[in-house]
Amino acid sequence: MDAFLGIIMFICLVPTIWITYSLLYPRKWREKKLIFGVTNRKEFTEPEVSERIDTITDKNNKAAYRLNVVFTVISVLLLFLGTLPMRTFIWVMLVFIAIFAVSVPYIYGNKEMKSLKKSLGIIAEKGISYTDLKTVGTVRALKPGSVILPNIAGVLTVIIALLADLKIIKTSGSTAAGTFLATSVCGSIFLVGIMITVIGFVMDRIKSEVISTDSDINANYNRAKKKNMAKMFVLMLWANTIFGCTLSLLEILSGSGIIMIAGIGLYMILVMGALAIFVHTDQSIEKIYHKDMTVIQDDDDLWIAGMFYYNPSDKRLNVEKRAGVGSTINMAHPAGKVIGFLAALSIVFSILVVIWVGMLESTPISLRVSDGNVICHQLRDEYVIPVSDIESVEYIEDIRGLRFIRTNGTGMETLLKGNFSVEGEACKVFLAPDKMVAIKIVTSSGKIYYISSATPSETSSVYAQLNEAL
Amino acid sequence: MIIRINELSDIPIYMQIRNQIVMGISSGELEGGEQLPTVRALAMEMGINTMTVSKAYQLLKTEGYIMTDRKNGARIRTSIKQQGIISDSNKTELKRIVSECRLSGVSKADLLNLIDEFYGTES
Repeated sequence: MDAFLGIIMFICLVPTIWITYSLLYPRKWREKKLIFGVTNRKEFTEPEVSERIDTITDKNNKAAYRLNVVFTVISVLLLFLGTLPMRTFIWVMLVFIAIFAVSVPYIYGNKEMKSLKKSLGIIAEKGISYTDLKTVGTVRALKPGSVILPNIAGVLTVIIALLADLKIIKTSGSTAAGTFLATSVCGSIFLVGIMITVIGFVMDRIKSEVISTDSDINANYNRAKKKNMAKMFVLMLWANTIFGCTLSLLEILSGSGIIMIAGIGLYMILVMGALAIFVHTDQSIEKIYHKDMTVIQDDDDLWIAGMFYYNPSDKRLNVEKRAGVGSTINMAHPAGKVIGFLAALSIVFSILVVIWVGMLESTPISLRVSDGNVICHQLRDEYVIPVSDIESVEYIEDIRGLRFIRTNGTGMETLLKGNFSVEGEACKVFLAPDKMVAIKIVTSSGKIYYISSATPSETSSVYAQLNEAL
Repeated sequence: MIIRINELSDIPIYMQIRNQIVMGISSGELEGGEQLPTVRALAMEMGINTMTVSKAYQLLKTEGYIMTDRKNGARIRTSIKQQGIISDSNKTELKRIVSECRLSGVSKADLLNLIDEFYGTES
């Protein structure tokens, strides 16, 4: 199972950094609208200036390429090093570090390009914006009809999962019915679909760009770009619906976790594929229209590091991204400030969660009998079972025959902790599943516990003590 | 038709929109009966307040360049009333331009040529 999680992380990380590389780092900068987030201008075609830009792009492109190669090699190594401790923690930290690191040469490139502009005496006219009256509100590509069907399919899967959990629909071979695992998984995936739909429509209504004094060119350019984006969103929505919800249901019906993991892997491949096709087509559109770009809207100074838009005069909250795909927020907008703060907070929170997961993975669980109580302990969690309450104790030498389905708590390859459903029974679990052994305790009140210590010898020692006490 | 807005200009934004639509009608870029974007759509696209666009449209309507109704929104008038007179404010503006040209050494012939060029091509 852990190997599959590794594959999913690999599929998420490696294509993302290479797609980011192709988006941020201009190989043929003469054909691009932007060079490291700085507007490509006629002045840049002068031989001397061209040479300097060649140097800037070469240096930063190479730096980003090397970084990508390093992160790809680390990902491949992580994929094949099966026994590495704290693998989940390392994977997630690697994703965070890689995504940040890949954009560092871009930030340097942006700084160098802005210095070059300054040295050439190019001063952008501040406060200038262009609007083409003929494209206002008329260039739309995402049709409501194309998103209704996948969303209806998403709702249906949630309903089916709910009926299965309520045991109104009988499922064969499933032990998860009643845990509401299927409902929560399908519900979450359906909500992701709704988010994709909303973002898709927001992106479709984003300001049309003015690249030429000819309104027909502007309309065609924006239509081509929005059509490409709409296609990507519809494909992502279908991928989300079909390979998310359907395979989650299959997992419930067949009882195989591998199918679910394989489904998520396939889903990620499809999403990355949709993104790669979008980027390729978008770059082709830019290339085709490059010769028609006669109107230059130089708002480079409003983009901090070529990435973050800050314009107090602009009432819009959403603007098209300069670096990457999709839209970004105007950080000067009151709502933009709140969103920016929440985004920063969520990044900090995510890092803290990852550190917490790392601590969970690296801290061994302990099990002991003390003062007439069985005490399971790890970090801040402690389960106390009075020995006097214990009705029966059973030593399980191989837990591989049991299926632990998490209701809430922690479920990792090296740690299961919290409320679980085991063979259809609600249980409290506190064990290291990789050690294979467990003690099953049933109390006089009917509560069931599956517990173990960090090593099989310690577990069997506690079992012997319990047997003696009983 | 492209509208260029300068947020730092002394001319208010609603007046910049009004002026450029008038020039668009005069040059033929905007034809009689042509639909203009809604106030809300244009404000969103430009990233400005809806009141600013509304003010520009109101002014254009008062001056007889556009017509608005609830069903069809704003459209360019098919026939614009030709009074054949220059307004007092335009006379003052023209006087200022002529004065500046004279002070900066532009000949009367050059100025007339320029007027011919603008009037000729834009009529």
